[in-house]
Amino acid sequence: MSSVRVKFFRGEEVKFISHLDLMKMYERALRRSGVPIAYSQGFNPHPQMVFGLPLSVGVTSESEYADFELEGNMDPGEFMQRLNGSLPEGIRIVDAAVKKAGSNIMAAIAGASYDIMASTDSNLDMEVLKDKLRQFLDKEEIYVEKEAKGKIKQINIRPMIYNMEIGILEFDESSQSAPDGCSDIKLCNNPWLLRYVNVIKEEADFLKLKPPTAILCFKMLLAAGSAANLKPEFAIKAFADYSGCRFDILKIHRSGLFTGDKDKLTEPLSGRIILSI
Amino acid sequence: MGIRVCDRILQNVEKPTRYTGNEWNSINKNLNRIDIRFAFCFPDVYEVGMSHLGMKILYHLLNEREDVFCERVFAPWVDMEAKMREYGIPLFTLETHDAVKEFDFVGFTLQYEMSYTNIINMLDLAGFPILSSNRTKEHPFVCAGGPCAYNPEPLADFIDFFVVGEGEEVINEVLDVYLDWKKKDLSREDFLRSISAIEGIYVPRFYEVEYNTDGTIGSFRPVEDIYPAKIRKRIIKDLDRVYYPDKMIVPFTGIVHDRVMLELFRGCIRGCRFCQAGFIYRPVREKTADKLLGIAKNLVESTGYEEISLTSLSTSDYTSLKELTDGLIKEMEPKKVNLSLPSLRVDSFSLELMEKAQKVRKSGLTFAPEAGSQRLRNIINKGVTEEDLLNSVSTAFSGGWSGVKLYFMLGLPMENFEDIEGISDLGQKVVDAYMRTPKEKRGKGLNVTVSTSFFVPKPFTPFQWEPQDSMEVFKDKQSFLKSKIKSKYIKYNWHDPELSFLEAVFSRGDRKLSRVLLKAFEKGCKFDSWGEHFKFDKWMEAFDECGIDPHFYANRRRPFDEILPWDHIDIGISKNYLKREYEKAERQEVTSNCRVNCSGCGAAVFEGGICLE
Repeated sequence: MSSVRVKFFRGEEVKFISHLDLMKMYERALRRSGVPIAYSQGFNPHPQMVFGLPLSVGVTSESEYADFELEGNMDPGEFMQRLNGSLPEGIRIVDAAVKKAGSNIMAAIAGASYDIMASTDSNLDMEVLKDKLRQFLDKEEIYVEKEAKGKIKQINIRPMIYNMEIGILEFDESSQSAPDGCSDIKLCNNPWLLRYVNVIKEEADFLKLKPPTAILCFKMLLAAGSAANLKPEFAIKAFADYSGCRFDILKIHRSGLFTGDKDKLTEPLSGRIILSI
Repeated sequence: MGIRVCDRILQNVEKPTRYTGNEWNSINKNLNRIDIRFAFCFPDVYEVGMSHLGMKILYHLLNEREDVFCERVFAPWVDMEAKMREYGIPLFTLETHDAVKEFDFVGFTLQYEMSYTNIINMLDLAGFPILSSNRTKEHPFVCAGGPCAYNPEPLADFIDFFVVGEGEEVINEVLDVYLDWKKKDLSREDFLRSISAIEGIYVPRFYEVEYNTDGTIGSFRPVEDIYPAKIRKRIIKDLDRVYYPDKMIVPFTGIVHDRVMLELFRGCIRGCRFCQAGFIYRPVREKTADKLLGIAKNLVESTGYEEISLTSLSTSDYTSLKELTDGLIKEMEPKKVNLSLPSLRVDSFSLELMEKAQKVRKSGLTFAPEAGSQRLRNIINKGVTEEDLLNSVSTAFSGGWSGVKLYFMLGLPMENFEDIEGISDLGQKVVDAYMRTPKEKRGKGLNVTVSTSFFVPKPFTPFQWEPQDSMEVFKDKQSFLKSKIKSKYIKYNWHDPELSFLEAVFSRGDRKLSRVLLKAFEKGCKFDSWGEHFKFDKWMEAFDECGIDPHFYANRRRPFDEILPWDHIDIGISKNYLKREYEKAERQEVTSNCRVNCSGCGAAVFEGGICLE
């Protein structure tokens, strides 16, 4: 027995697949690829695999993780290559390593980072918005309403926001090419987002809708996993309530997923420390 | 790339993966190297259409050709349709998302009558003329095949040509003629004329119907002598040699039959007199176990599916069932692939098989006695006796099973209230059989389900001349049965009669019904077999406004000498044979199955399968 941890992408082509359907997809890809996956015992044998953190329908990711238990040994590189040959377009394993001892990926997840594109009705200056975000994050408590088991609960999400930034993505209608820049390059140089600007343009064109003139970009690092988990929509909703602006989310993209705990987040494959508080 | 399926829309509809395509084993081709684009349409939602074996076969068969690109189209669910209409998005295929109206062929598969309004709705969404007579050279040819194509008449106004019978060979012949036609500057009519010479092709516009004053058909004949008076169905003589895909598309989301489907044989030896499939697919032709094991191995490797199911009309009748299942279990067990068994005739062999293959939670076994008395079972030629059934359930109960489902039909020809009472008696006897089984052997929690559906007389069966009971009689029979079922262990499931009534209208309808279909579509009828969308009152309005009496089709006894709307279709089985079978039914006489004795139905003209054994 050995264990392999992989990192994979989930592209636009497969972003509408539910988490359960994704697992079924992997189960079938494993059988097609012929890798020596281990199965559970019992009436209904299932492949021994564990996924990091479910991705909401419609969200893309460049940073998904899964652990696979194997019968016998197989080089992680070969495992990756074989399995990639059996995965549909849009799902691609980009890294693999022997899984180190310790808890499985699902139990170990502690944080997730997201890049989010949104349009807004606000004509506030970016500097003003940034100020508002600063004030928002300065609060010790930020309550949002969450429905659970039919009851509405007030939840303090501030401790689950590790980091949150806002910037603008210029959307120049006259230029046919992708926007070549934005006022804060550091914030929106993610190709996954830049590529999507064209999609939004084409869609607006096709559906004969008015294209958004300004696109905002949020970048955030949030608590994730079984202990505490915050969906990025909630953080944006809370900021919208606080600032009085309306944000229409155009795209959510998961840029990172981290193990560890809230004081020390690490990259799940290399163990490299990402954030240390 | 044609129409894009927009994220803005997909984010706001149920199950967006119904529309995105791109599944494992789906096919993409370079459009510059394609001569013919074929849009294969299933007139129901993705999950239903993707479960259909015929589509899987024809999709891969057509795509084997380098000059053809076959793509899939399903009926968009109502939420998606609303968005498409709002934004003016025409019906599109899953492969390229191109508009169906740009294709050379648009082919529909006709699996059940109550999908007809979906066909019209899809043509309307596609954005080219719904009526065959209004199409011009710039529009695709619209064709249809499948079991309902054996009585094509109600769809005659919408479909340019029908493919009658099994499609594997004939479809390629049609496409070859098309390639030739495309090179020359000929009319739409010219193409249809050329293919009308191909056996199995029926072009409704080349036939004219005259009606008698009472609404029955006075004459039905080709408009010119060059068209065949009879259209003979096509069959594949040797199933071992016909194309069967070694790939199947693996969907991203659960579909109705989400597994490898292995087709053991076509046709059925039984000849139950109510069952259309038992006649139209004759003669019985099997694939050899060797061939099937090879296919199964390829399909599991190419799909990665965790389950294989055996599909045919009556799997227990497959001659090499033991050899096949032993082989499959041996091959599949190490790959952790499950063998899913259909409802088998229950005997010691099948119980042993079920234990071995399925590792089932011993919950439910299904039986279909269809009728409650021996008298009526003889009438319908359902060769099951009460003794058989009770022996089977006793064996099953002793083996640890505790759930039994029993399927019956109400309104069978010559049925009386004693036959109906027989249904509840049979249910009770099943309960008694459980009680007689020693406690240590039987499973816990007895659960008997009795389900009834309503009999729908079908073309090409010995009951094709029979009236269907009125909906009032159906309701009376149902409440009578309900009042007779007393045991707390028996659960009774029933249907509403309205849908069965409409099925009876359209299954034996004529050309005049095209107008009703169009009217019903205009009134918003679609997804009629989905309870929540079935609008019976709209249907009745449609009949009324067209001046057509639906009872004329459903509830009228037709004399043997009446010209039936499907008389020009030739399935090999003679009308005389069906009449003889009807007369035997009246005498409560059974007909032995094809393997025991040939009853001379006429299917031997196809020189295939069991008729040669």
